[in-house]
Amino acid sequence: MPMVELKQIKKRLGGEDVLNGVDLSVGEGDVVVILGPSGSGKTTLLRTINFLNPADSGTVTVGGLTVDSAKHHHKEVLALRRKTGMVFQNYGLFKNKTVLRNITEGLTVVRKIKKEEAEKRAYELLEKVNLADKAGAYPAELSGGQQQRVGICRALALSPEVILFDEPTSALDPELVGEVLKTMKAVALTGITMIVVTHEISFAREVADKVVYMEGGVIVEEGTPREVIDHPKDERTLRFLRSILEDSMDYMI
Amino acid sequence: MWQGHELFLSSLPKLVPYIPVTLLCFLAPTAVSLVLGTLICRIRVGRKNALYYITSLFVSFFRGTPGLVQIFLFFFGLPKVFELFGVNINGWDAVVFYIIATCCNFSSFVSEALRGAYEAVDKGQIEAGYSIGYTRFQCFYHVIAPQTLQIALPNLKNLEIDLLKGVATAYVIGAIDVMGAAQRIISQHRGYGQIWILLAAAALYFVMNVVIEAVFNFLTYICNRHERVRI
Repeated sequence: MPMVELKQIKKRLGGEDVLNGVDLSVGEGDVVVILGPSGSGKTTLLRTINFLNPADSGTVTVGGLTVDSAKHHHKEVLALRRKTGMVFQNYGLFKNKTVLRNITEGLTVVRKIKKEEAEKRAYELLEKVNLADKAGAYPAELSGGQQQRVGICRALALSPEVILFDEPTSALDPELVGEVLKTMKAVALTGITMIVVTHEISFAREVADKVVYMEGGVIVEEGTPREVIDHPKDERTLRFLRSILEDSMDYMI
Repeated sequence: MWQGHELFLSSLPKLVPYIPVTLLCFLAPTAVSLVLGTLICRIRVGRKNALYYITSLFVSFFRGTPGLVQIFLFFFGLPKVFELFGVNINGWDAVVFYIIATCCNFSSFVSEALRGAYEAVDKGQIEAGYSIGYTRFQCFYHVIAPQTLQIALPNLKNLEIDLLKGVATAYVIGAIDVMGAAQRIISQHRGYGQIWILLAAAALYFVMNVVIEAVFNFLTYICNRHERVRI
Protein backbone atom coordinates (compact mmCIF):
# COMPACT_ATOMS: atom_id res chain seq x y z
CA MET A 1 0.00 0.00 0.00
CA PRO A 2 1.41 3.43 -0.89
CA MET A 3 2.30 5.83 1.90
CA VAL A 4 0.94 8.86 0.07
CA GLU A 5 -1.69 8.70 -2.61
CA LEU A 6 -3.25 11.62 -4.44
CA LYS A 7 -6.26 11.06 -6.65
CA GLN A 8 -7.67 13.52 -9.16
CA ILE A 9 -6.38 16.62 -7.33
CA LYS A 10 -7.88 19.70 -8.92
CA LYS A 11 -7.49 23.31 -7.92
CA ARG A 12 -8.35 26.68 -9.37
CA LEU A 13 -6.64 29.84 -8.19
CA GLY A 14 -7.61 33.29 -9.39
CA GLY A 15 -9.72 31.93 -12.24
CA GLU A 16 -6.97 29.69 -13.53
CA ASP A 17 -6.65 25.92 -13.32
CA VAL A 18 -3.49 25.35 -11.34
CA LEU A 19 -3.91 21.62 -10.88
CA ASN A 20 -5.82 19.61 -13.48
CA GLY A 21 -6.46 16.25 -11.90
CA VAL A 22 -3.14 15.06 -10.56
CA ASP A 23 -2.67 11.43 -9.53
CA LEU A 24 0.42 10.53 -7.59
CA SER A 25 1.41 7.51 -5.59
CA VAL A 26 4.39 7.42 -3.26
CA GLY A 27 5.56 4.16 -1.72
CA GLU A 28 6.77 3.84 1.86
CA GLY A 29 10.37 4.99 2.21
CA ASP A 30 10.44 6.45 -1.27
CA VAL A 31 12.05 9.76 -2.12
CA VAL A 32 10.03 11.48 -4.80
CA VAL A 33 11.36 14.63 -6.43
CA ILE A 34 8.93 16.88 -8.26
CA LEU A 35 10.49 18.97 -11.02
CA GLY A 36 8.91 21.53 -13.25
CA PRO A 37 9.09 25.13 -14.43
CA SER A 38 7.78 27.85 -12.13
CA GLY A 39 4.03 28.13 -12.30
CA SER A 40 3.64 24.45 -13.08
CA GLY A 41 1.76 23.86 -9.83
CA LYS A 42 4.34 21.76 -8.01
CA THR A 43 4.40 23.83 -4.82
CA THR A 44 0.62 24.10 -4.89
CA LEU A 45 0.41 20.32 -5.22
CA LEU A 46 2.71 19.86 -2.22
CA ARG A 47 0.59 22.21 -0.13
CA THR A 48 -2.62 20.36 -0.97
CA ILE A 49 -1.14 17.27 0.69
CA ASN A 50 -1.15 18.78 4.18
CA PHE A 51 -4.06 21.09 3.41
CA LEU A 52 -2.20 24.38 3.82
CA ASN A 53 -3.94 25.16 0.52
CA PRO A 54 -6.69 22.56 0.21
CA ALA A 55 -7.49 21.38 -3.30
CA ASP A 56 -10.98 21.97 -4.68
CA SER A 57 -11.54 18.29 -5.30
CA GLY A 58 -9.74 14.98 -5.15
CA THR A 59 -8.62 12.79 -2.28
CA VAL A 60 -5.41 12.78 -0.27
CA THR A 61 -4.28 9.63 1.51
CA VAL A 62 -1.39 9.68 3.95
CA GLY A 63 -0.49 6.58 5.94
CA GLY A 64 -3.91 5.02 5.51
CA LEU A 65 -5.90 8.16 6.32
CA THR A 66 -7.95 9.40 3.39
CA VAL A 67 -9.34 12.92 3.32
CA ASP A 68 -11.60 14.29 0.60
CA SER A 69 -10.46 17.77 -0.42
CA ALA A 70 -13.98 18.83 -1.37
CA LYS A 71 -15.47 18.15 2.05
CA HIS A 72 -12.84 17.97 4.74
CA HIS A 73 -13.45 18.25 8.45
CA HIS A 74 -10.86 20.20 10.44
CA LYS A 75 -10.30 17.20 12.70
CA GLU A 76 -9.39 15.04 9.71
CA VAL A 77 -7.05 17.75 8.47
CA LEU A 78 -5.40 17.94 11.88
CA ALA A 79 -4.90 14.17 11.99
CA LEU A 80 -3.44 14.28 8.49
CA ARG A 81 -1.11 17.14 9.32
CA ARG A 82 0.14 15.19 12.30
CA LYS A 83 1.26 12.43 9.93
CA THR A 84 3.22 14.87 7.78
CA GLY A 85 6.09 17.26 8.33
CA MET A 86 7.02 20.18 6.14
CA VAL A 87 10.18 22.10 5.35
CA PHE A 88 9.58 25.55 3.91
CA GLN A 89 11.34 27.64 1.33
CA ASN A 90 11.68 30.49 3.82
CA TYR A 91 12.43 28.14 6.72
CA GLY A 92 9.30 29.20 8.66
CA LEU A 93 11.10 29.08 11.98
CA PHE A 94 9.36 30.71 14.95
CA LYS A 95 11.64 33.71 15.18
CA ASN A 96 10.71 34.56 18.77
CA LYS A 97 11.81 31.13 19.98
CA THR A 98 15.24 29.62 20.36
CA VAL A 99 16.47 26.84 18.09
CA LEU A 100 15.81 24.32 20.85
CA ARG A 101 12.26 25.58 21.47
CA ASN A 102 11.55 25.56 17.75
CA ILE A 103 12.20 21.84 17.72
CA THR A 104 10.63 20.93 21.07
CA GLU A 105 7.44 22.98 20.60
CA GLY A 106 5.79 20.39 18.39
CA LEU A 107 6.72 17.61 20.78
CA THR A 108 5.56 19.29 23.98
CA VAL A 109 2.49 21.06 22.60
CA VAL A 110 1.21 18.57 20.04
CA ARG A 111 2.54 15.25 21.34
CA LYS A 112 2.36 16.23 25.02
CA ILE A 113 5.82 14.80 25.62
CA LYS A 114 7.69 15.90 28.76
CA LYS A 115 10.04 18.83 28.29
CA GLU A 116 13.19 16.92 29.28
CA GLU A 117 12.47 14.11 26.82
CA ALA A 118 11.64 16.57 24.06
CA GLU A 119 14.90 18.42 24.67
CA LYS A 120 16.83 15.19 24.63
CA ARG A 121 15.32 14.33 21.26
CA ALA A 122 16.02 17.85 19.97
CA TYR A 123 19.68 17.65 21.04
CA GLU A 124 20.05 14.27 19.31
CA LEU A 125 18.78 15.78 16.08
CA LEU A 126 20.84 18.96 16.41
CA GLU A 127 23.90 16.80 17.03
CA LYS A 128 23.27 15.05 13.72
CA VAL A 129 23.15 18.30 11.77
CA ASN A 130 26.12 19.78 13.69
CA LEU A 131 24.11 22.52 15.33
CA ALA A 132 24.06 21.40 18.97
CA ASP A 133 26.07 24.47 19.95
CA LYS A 134 23.35 26.72 18.50
CA ALA A 135 20.54 25.30 20.62
CA GLY A 136 20.18 28.51 22.62
CA ALA A 137 20.40 30.86 19.64
CA TYR A 138 17.49 32.64 17.99
CA PRO A 139 16.85 32.06 14.28
CA ALA A 140 18.03 35.58 13.41
CA GLU A 141 21.50 34.62 14.66
CA LEU A 142 21.82 31.76 12.18
CA SER A 143 22.74 31.67 8.50
CA GLY A 144 20.09 30.58 6.03
CA GLY A 145 21.61 27.13 5.73
CA GLN A 146 21.67 26.67 9.48
CA GLN A 147 18.06 27.86 9.74
CA GLN A 148 16.98 25.41 7.11
CA ARG A 149 18.75 22.56 8.89
CA VAL A 150 16.87 23.52 12.05
CA GLY A 151 13.69 23.50 9.95
CA ILE A 152 14.49 19.95 8.88
CA CYS A 153 15.12 18.96 12.52
CA ARG A 154 11.78 20.45 13.54
CA ALA A 155 9.98 18.39 10.93
CA LEU A 156 11.94 15.24 11.84
CA ALA A 157 11.38 15.63 15.59
CA LEU A 158 7.75 14.67 15.25
CA SER A 159 8.71 11.46 13.38
CA PRO A 160 6.17 12.06 10.63
CA GLU A 161 5.32 9.38 8.12
CA VAL A 162 6.20 11.67 5.25
CA ILE A 163 8.17 14.91 5.01
CA LEU A 164 7.30 17.51 2.39
CA PHE A 165 10.12 19.76 1.20
CA ASP A 166 8.98 22.95 -0.51
CA GLU A 167 11.96 24.27 -2.48
CA PRO A 168 14.19 23.99 0.59
CA THR A 169 17.29 25.42 -1.05
CA SER A 170 15.97 28.11 -3.36
CA ALA A 171 16.13 30.92 -0.77
CA LEU A 172 19.73 30.09 0.13
CA ASP A 173 22.99 31.66 -0.93
CA PRO A 174 24.69 29.31 -3.41
CA GLU A 175 27.47 28.36 -1.00
CA LEU A 176 24.92 27.25 1.62
CA VAL A 177 22.92 24.96 -0.68
CA GLY A 178 25.35 22.09 -0.23
CA GLU A 179 24.98 21.74 3.53
CA VAL A 180 21.19 21.57 3.29
CA LEU A 181 21.26 19.04 0.45
CA LYS A 182 23.69 16.95 2.47
CA THR A 183 21.30 16.98 5.41
CA MET A 184 18.44 16.00 3.12
CA LYS A 185 20.47 13.08 1.78
CA ALA A 186 21.10 11.95 5.34
CA VAL A 187 17.37 12.18 6.02
CA ALA A 188 16.66 10.10 2.92
CA LEU A 189 19.05 7.42 4.16
CA THR A 190 16.99 7.00 7.35
CA GLY A 191 14.28 5.52 5.15
CA ILE A 192 11.62 8.14 5.75
CA THR A 193 9.22 8.93 2.92
CA MET A 194 10.04 12.26 1.29
CA ILE A 195 8.36 14.41 -1.33
CA VAL A 196 10.69 17.13 -2.54
CA VAL A 197 9.95 20.09 -4.78
CA THR A 198 13.26 21.42 -6.02
CA HIS A 199 15.32 22.64 -8.90
CA GLU A 200 18.39 20.68 -7.83
CA ILE A 201 18.69 18.19 -10.65
CA SER A 202 21.80 16.61 -9.16
CA PHE A 203 19.95 15.91 -5.92
CA ALA A 204 17.13 14.30 -7.89
CA ARG A 205 19.58 12.17 -9.83
CA GLU A 206 21.46 10.99 -6.74
CA VAL A 207 18.76 10.55 -4.14
CA ALA A 208 15.37 10.18 -5.79
CA ASP A 209 13.65 6.84 -6.20
CA LYS A 210 11.17 8.51 -8.45
CA VAL A 211 11.20 11.76 -10.40
CA VAL A 212 7.99 13.49 -11.40
CA TYR A 213 7.93 16.16 -14.07
CA MET A 214 4.99 18.57 -13.89
CA GLU A 215 3.89 21.24 -16.29
CA GLY A 216 0.63 23.15 -16.64
CA GLY A 217 -0.93 21.49 -13.61
CA VAL A 218 -0.51 17.92 -14.78
CA ILE A 219 2.12 15.25 -14.40
CA VAL A 220 3.82 14.99 -17.76
CA GLU A 221 6.23 12.23 -16.99
CA GLU A 222 7.26 10.10 -14.04
CA GLY A 223 9.77 7.36 -13.45
CA THR A 224 13.24 6.67 -12.14
CA PRO A 225 15.80 9.49 -12.36
CA ARG A 226 17.46 7.57 -15.20
CA GLU A 227 14.22 7.44 -17.17
CA VAL A 228 13.05 11.00 -16.61
CA ILE A 229 16.29 12.99 -16.34
CA ASP A 230 18.62 11.05 -18.61
CA HIS A 231 16.16 9.69 -21.15
CA PRO A 232 13.06 11.88 -21.11
CA LYS A 233 10.37 10.74 -23.49
CA ASP A 234 8.26 13.86 -23.54
CA GLU A 235 9.27 16.92 -25.54
CA ARG A 236 8.32 19.26 -22.67
CA THR A 237 10.53 17.44 -20.15
CA LEU A 238 13.40 17.57 -22.57
CA ARG A 239 12.96 21.28 -23.14
CA PHE A 240 12.84 21.99 -19.37
CA LEU A 241 15.91 19.90 -18.62
CA ARG A 242 17.81 21.54 -21.42
CA SER A 243 16.93 25.00 -20.13
CA ILE A 244 18.36 24.34 -16.68
CA LEU A 245 21.18 21.96 -17.46
CA GLU A 246 22.75 23.74 -20.37
CA ASP A 247 23.98 27.22 -19.72
CA SER A 248 25.21 27.76 -23.24
CA MET A 249 24.23 31.16 -24.50
CA ASP A 250 21.75 31.09 -27.29
CA TYR A 251 21.56 34.85 -27.48
CA MET A 252 23.84 37.80 -26.92
CA ILE A 253 23.17 41.25 -25.55
CA MET B 1 4.46 87.99 49.76
CA TRP B 2 2.10 85.38 48.38
CA GLN B 3 3.75 81.95 48.17
CA GLY B 4 2.37 79.92 45.24
CA HIS B 5 4.60 76.95 45.78
CA GLU B 6 3.14 76.55 49.27
CA LEU B 7 -0.27 76.03 47.67
CA PHE B 8 1.36 73.53 45.32
CA LEU B 9 2.89 71.61 48.20
CA SER B 10 -0.18 71.78 50.41
CA SER B 11 -2.54 70.49 47.68
CA LEU B 12 -0.32 67.51 46.81
CA PRO B 13 -1.26 65.48 49.93
CA LYS B 14 -4.91 66.34 49.32
CA LEU B 15 -4.71 64.94 45.77
CA VAL B 16 -2.69 61.80 46.50
CA PRO B 17 -5.65 59.93 48.10
CA TYR B 18 -7.45 60.14 44.74
CA ILE B 19 -4.70 58.34 42.85
CA PRO B 20 -6.42 54.96 43.41
CA VAL B 21 -9.55 56.31 41.68
CA THR B 22 -7.45 57.44 38.71
CA LEU B 23 -5.74 54.09 38.63
CA LEU B 24 -9.07 52.26 38.78
CA CYS B 25 -10.33 54.35 35.85
CA PHE B 26 -7.15 53.35 34.04
CA LEU B 27 -6.69 49.71 34.97
CA ALA B 28 -10.31 48.56 34.62
CA PRO B 29 -10.63 49.68 30.97
CA THR B 30 -7.13 48.32 30.29
CA ALA B 31 -8.04 44.86 31.54
CA VAL B 32 -11.45 44.78 29.86
CA SER B 33 -10.10 46.16 26.59
CA LEU B 34 -7.35 43.59 26.31
CA VAL B 35 -10.01 40.88 26.31
CA LEU B 36 -12.72 42.73 24.40
CA GLY B 37 -10.22 44.26 21.96
CA THR B 38 -8.77 40.83 21.20
CA LEU B 39 -12.25 39.44 20.53
CA ILE B 40 -13.16 42.37 18.27
CA CYS B 41 -9.84 42.01 16.47
CA ARG B 42 -10.45 38.28 16.01
CA ILE B 43 -13.88 38.99 14.49
CA ARG B 44 -12.56 41.77 12.26
CA VAL B 45 -9.80 39.68 10.72
CA GLY B 46 -12.19 36.81 10.05
CA ARG B 47 -15.04 36.20 7.67
CA LYS B 48 -17.39 39.03 6.80
CA ASN B 49 -20.52 37.85 8.57
CA ALA B 50 -23.14 39.80 10.55
CA LEU B 51 -20.88 39.94 13.60
CA TYR B 52 -18.15 41.48 11.48
CA TYR B 53 -20.37 44.35 10.41
CA ILE B 54 -21.75 44.91 13.91
CA THR B 55 -18.27 45.14 15.45
CA SER B 56 -17.08 47.32 12.57
CA LEU B 57 -19.90 49.73 13.30
CA PHE B 58 -19.01 49.62 17.01
CA VAL B 59 -15.33 50.35 16.35
CA SER B 60 -16.14 53.01 13.81
CA PHE B 61 -18.51 54.80 16.21
CA PHE B 62 -16.21 54.78 19.21
CA ARG B 63 -13.15 55.79 17.20
CA GLY B 64 -15.04 58.41 15.25
CA THR B 65 -16.70 60.38 18.05
CA PRO B 66 -15.07 62.38 20.85
CA GLY B 67 -14.49 60.50 24.10
CA LEU B 68 -16.01 63.41 26.00
CA VAL B 69 -19.27 63.08 24.08
CA GLN B 70 -19.29 59.33 24.73
CA ILE B 71 -18.87 59.87 28.47
CA PHE B 72 -21.87 62.22 28.53
CA LEU B 73 -23.91 59.86 26.35
CA PHE B 74 -23.32 56.98 28.75
CA PHE B 75 -23.86 59.11 31.83
CA PHE B 76 -27.20 60.48 30.70
CA GLY B 77 -28.27 57.74 28.29
CA LEU B 78 -27.54 54.53 30.18
CA PRO B 79 -29.96 55.26 33.09
CA LYS B 80 -32.70 55.92 30.51
CA VAL B 81 -32.01 52.58 28.81
CA PHE B 82 -32.07 50.75 32.13
CA GLU B 83 -35.27 52.59 33.06
CA LEU B 84 -37.02 50.84 30.17
CA PHE B 85 -36.37 47.57 31.97
CA GLY B 86 -37.48 49.02 35.28
CA VAL B 87 -33.98 49.23 36.74
CA ASN B 88 -32.87 52.38 38.44
CA ILE B 89 -29.13 52.97 38.15
CA ASN B 90 -29.13 56.65 39.05
CA GLY B 91 -27.44 55.74 42.30
CA TRP B 92 -24.36 54.40 40.54
CA ASP B 93 -21.16 56.32 41.03
CA ALA B 94 -20.10 58.50 38.13
CA VAL B 95 -16.84 56.50 38.07
CA VAL B 96 -18.81 53.44 36.93
CA PHE B 97 -20.28 55.32 33.97
CA TYR B 98 -16.87 56.65 33.07
CA ILE B 99 -15.38 53.13 33.15
CA ILE B 100 -18.15 51.63 31.01
CA ALA B 101 -17.86 54.37 28.39
CA THR B 102 -14.08 54.14 28.35
CA CYS B 103 -14.11 50.35 28.07
CA CYS B 104 -16.11 50.66 24.84
CA ASN B 105 -13.92 53.46 23.53
CA PHE B 106 -10.62 51.90 24.48
CA SER B 107 -11.52 48.40 23.23
CA SER B 108 -12.05 49.90 19.79
CA PHE B 109 -8.61 51.46 19.76
CA VAL B 110 -6.93 48.36 21.19
CA SER B 111 -8.66 46.14 18.64
CA GLU B 112 -7.34 48.29 15.81
CA ALA B 113 -3.81 48.30 17.23
CA LEU B 114 -3.95 44.51 17.51
CA ARG B 115 -5.45 44.14 14.04
CA GLY B 116 -2.62 46.11 12.49
CA ALA B 117 -0.11 43.98 14.35
CA TYR B 118 -1.85 40.73 13.39
CA GLU B 119 -1.66 41.68 9.72
CA ALA B 120 2.08 42.17 10.19
CA VAL B 121 2.75 38.72 11.66
CA ASP B 122 4.72 36.56 9.24
CA LYS B 123 2.14 34.21 7.72
CA GLY B 124 4.87 31.65 6.99
CA GLN B 125 5.24 31.02 10.71
CA ILE B 126 1.50 30.47 11.09
CA GLU B 127 1.67 27.89 8.30
CA ALA B 128 4.69 26.32 9.97
CA GLY B 129 2.62 26.03 13.14
CA TYR B 130 -0.14 24.23 11.28
CA SER B 131 2.41 22.03 9.53
CA ILE B 132 3.64 20.63 12.84
CA GLY B 133 0.08 19.78 13.80
CA TYR B 134 -1.09 22.74 15.88
CA THR B 135 -4.80 23.17 16.34
CA ARG B 136 -6.14 26.62 15.58
CA PHE B 137 -6.07 27.51 19.26
CA GLN B 138 -2.52 26.21 19.74
CA CYS B 139 -1.39 28.20 16.72
CA PHE B 140 -3.06 31.31 18.11
CA TYR B 141 -1.64 30.82 21.58
CA HIS B 142 1.91 29.81 20.66
CA VAL B 143 2.57 31.64 17.39
CA ILE B 144 0.11 34.40 16.61
CA ALA B 145 -0.59 35.95 20.03
CA PRO B 146 3.00 36.44 21.24
CA GLN B 147 4.12 38.01 17.98
CA THR B 148 1.02 40.15 17.58
CA LEU B 149 1.53 41.49 21.08
CA GLN B 150 5.17 42.22 20.40
CA ILE B 151 4.40 44.19 17.26
CA ALA B 152 1.49 46.01 18.94
CA LEU B 153 3.39 47.02 22.08
CA PRO B 154 4.68 50.45 20.98
CA ASN B 155 1.18 51.30 19.79
CA LEU B 156 -0.43 50.02 22.97
CA LYS B 157 2.00 52.07 25.03
CA ASN B 158 0.82 55.26 23.31
CA LEU B 159 -2.79 54.28 23.81
CA GLU B 160 -2.31 53.50 27.50
CA ILE B 161 -0.63 56.85 28.11
CA ASP B 162 -3.54 58.58 26.38
CA LEU B 163 -5.96 56.53 28.45
CA LEU B 164 -4.41 57.65 31.72
CA LYS B 165 -4.45 61.30 30.72
CA GLY B 166 -8.01 60.87 29.53
CA VAL B 167 -9.11 60.03 33.07
CA ALA B 168 -8.81 63.76 33.76
CA THR B 169 -12.00 64.29 31.71
CA ALA B 170 -13.99 62.09 34.12
CA TYR B 171 -14.63 65.08 36.38
CA VAL B 172 -17.13 66.52 33.86
CA ILE B 173 -19.69 63.94 34.99
CA GLY B 174 -18.72 64.32 38.63
CA ALA B 175 -16.30 61.43 39.02
CA ILE B 176 -13.69 62.50 41.54
CA ASP B 177 -10.22 61.39 40.49
CA VAL B 178 -7.05 63.47 40.85
CA MET B 179 -8.35 66.11 38.41
CA GLY B 180 -11.78 66.15 40.04
CA ALA B 181 -10.18 66.64 43.43
CA ALA B 182 -8.03 69.45 42.07
CA GLN B 183 -11.14 71.18 40.71
CA ARG B 184 -12.74 70.82 44.12
CA ILE B 185 -9.77 72.44 45.87
CA ILE B 186 -9.77 75.22 43.30
CA SER B 187 -13.43 76.02 43.99
CA GLN B 188 -12.74 75.93 47.73
CA HIS B 189 -10.17 78.65 47.08
CA ARG B 190 -12.62 80.46 44.77
CA GLY B 191 -10.21 80.11 41.88
CA TYR B 192 -7.37 81.67 43.83
CA GLY B 193 -3.96 80.16 42.87
CA GLN B 194 -5.54 77.61 40.57
CA ILE B 195 -2.41 77.28 38.44
CA TRP B 196 -0.46 75.87 41.40
CA ILE B 197 -3.16 73.37 42.23
CA LEU B 198 -3.40 72.27 38.59
CA LEU B 199 0.37 71.94 38.48
CA ALA B 200 0.19 69.62 41.47
CA ALA B 201 -2.37 67.47 39.61
CA ALA B 202 -0.19 67.54 36.48
CA ALA B 203 2.80 66.38 38.51
CA LEU B 204 0.87 63.37 39.81
CA TYR B 205 -0.33 62.39 36.31
CA PHE B 206 3.20 62.76 35.05
CA VAL B 207 4.62 60.44 37.70
CA MET B 208 1.97 57.81 36.91
CA ASN B 209 2.79 58.07 33.21
CA VAL B 210 6.48 57.64 33.87
CA VAL B 211 5.67 54.38 35.64
CA ILE B 212 3.46 53.20 32.78
CA GLU B 213 6.17 54.03 30.30
CA ALA B 214 8.75 52.13 32.34
CA VAL B 215 6.47 49.08 32.50
CA PHE B 216 5.98 49.10 28.74
CA ASN B 217 9.66 49.64 28.06
CA PHE B 218 10.39 46.60 30.19
CA LEU B 219 7.78 44.51 28.34
CA THR B 220 9.20 45.62 25.00
CA TYR B 221 12.67 44.71 26.20
CA ILE B 222 11.52 41.19 27.08
CA CYS B 223 9.49 40.68 23.90
CA ASN B 224 12.30 41.87 21.63
CA ARG B 225 14.84 39.46 23.12
CA HIS B 226 15.08 37.48 19.90
CA GLU B 227 15.90 40.57 17.87
CA ARG B 228 18.90 41.58 19.92
CA VAL B 229 21.17 39.02 18.38
CA ARG B 230 24.82 38.42 18.88
CA ILE B 231 26.34 38.08 15.44
